[in-house]
Amino acid sequence: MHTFLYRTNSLLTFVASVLVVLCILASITDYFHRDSAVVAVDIVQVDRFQVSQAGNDEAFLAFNISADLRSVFTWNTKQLFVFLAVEYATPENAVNQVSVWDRIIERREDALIALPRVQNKYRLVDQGRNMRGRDLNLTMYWNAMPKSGRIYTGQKTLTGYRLPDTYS
Amino acid sequence: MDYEGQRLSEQIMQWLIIVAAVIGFLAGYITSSYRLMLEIYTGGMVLAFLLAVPDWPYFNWHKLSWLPEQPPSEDEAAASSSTLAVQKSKQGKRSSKGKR
Amino acid sequence: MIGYVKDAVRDVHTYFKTLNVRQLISQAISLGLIVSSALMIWKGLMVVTGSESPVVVVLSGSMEPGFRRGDILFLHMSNAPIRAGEIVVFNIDGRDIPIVHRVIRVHEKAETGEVEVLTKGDNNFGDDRPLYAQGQMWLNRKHVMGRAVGYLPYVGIVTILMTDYPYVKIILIGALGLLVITSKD
Repeated sequence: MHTFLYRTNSLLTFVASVLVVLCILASITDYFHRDSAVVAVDIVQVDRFQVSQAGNDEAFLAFNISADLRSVFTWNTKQLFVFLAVEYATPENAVNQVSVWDRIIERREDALIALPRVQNKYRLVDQGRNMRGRDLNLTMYWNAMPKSGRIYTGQKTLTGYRLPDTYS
Repeated sequence: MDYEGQRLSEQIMQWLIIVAAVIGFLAGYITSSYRLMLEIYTGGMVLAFLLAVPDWPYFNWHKLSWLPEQPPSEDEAAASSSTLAVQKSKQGKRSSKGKR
Repeated sequence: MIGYVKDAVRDVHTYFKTLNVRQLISQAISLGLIVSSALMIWKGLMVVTGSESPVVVVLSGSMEPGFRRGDILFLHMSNAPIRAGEIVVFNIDGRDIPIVHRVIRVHEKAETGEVEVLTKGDNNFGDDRPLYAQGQMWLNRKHVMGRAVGYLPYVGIVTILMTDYPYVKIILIGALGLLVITSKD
């Protein structure tokens, strides 16, 4: 039976199926995208380094964050979730990653970050008291959330930082 | 719509949408605008709906040629007087054909 | 329009009038085939993605503007260690609604390799500790059902509608039932 409703139904299902294919194709183009991200992060100052009320080491740091992530945006990028993680290893914990700052970037133009002095947004707390004299890596992550398709992450690690040997 | 028209309708619908998808994808990719791809695609969908779904005259160019109507012979005129029983059994036969 | 309604009513009437055992069994088998195919596909997806829940619908606005209510996420669970920045779906003991948030802290034990993880929704002000069970400070690997690897917008709106407006569910199932009854095969 080839009624009006039948044809409308057939059209709508075909439209939906092809649309899903389009969304997947758009995501596949992301795979071929090459970015030229520029990231520079520095610890400007250790404001405070003490034992928290709960008995764990806690550091209050000021960072200089500057990054150009505009080239990371593709036509399929909905937003970039950018965050800075302080990473270190202790005898007890092989891996410690603490996100200390983040930002959501929705437009390509806004992906130019210039923060000469910003305090850590989230508390940098250890599990225990193992942070004195610890070597740190600072890694900038950018999580690309797409308009459709695959979610992927890029990162840039900067090494060579170190916490003071004593509390301040 | 006649049978040729139905086939034509399906073809118009599918081709229009695929073409709209391809053009939309390329245009969106080149201009780096996801939104443009969706706009072109939606345009294609509306066009396909307008051209392929309603029963336009160009879907009726290959009319089925029915055999000419024959006047009922005398046997059929006698049989048609017992209408109810005959019609009911015919309906039964038709619906079982339809189920296939 | 009235014509369609009249036809539908007549079809339902004929359906119940000419009900017989063979027809019922045949329809039950068709229904069973559809349901079992769907179940097979779902279970197959579970095996391929390694996740109990290969596809989830975003139910809250705590990850906006990236994920909105009604979007769907494709999950995958591998043995790779859980790291900061990953978007994970987890279950809290005692609650059955999975939560989709981002990992913001990772502490992996040197000896056992076990990991303690803290999550936070992008759109939330604070971390998820208030959401965890009483006394729970961290999530472990066993709580995590999968990582979000893929995304499609709007596809899950139907689920949201059905959750927010329960009578939509009834109407949908009623309409489906009508369609099954009135279709000639």
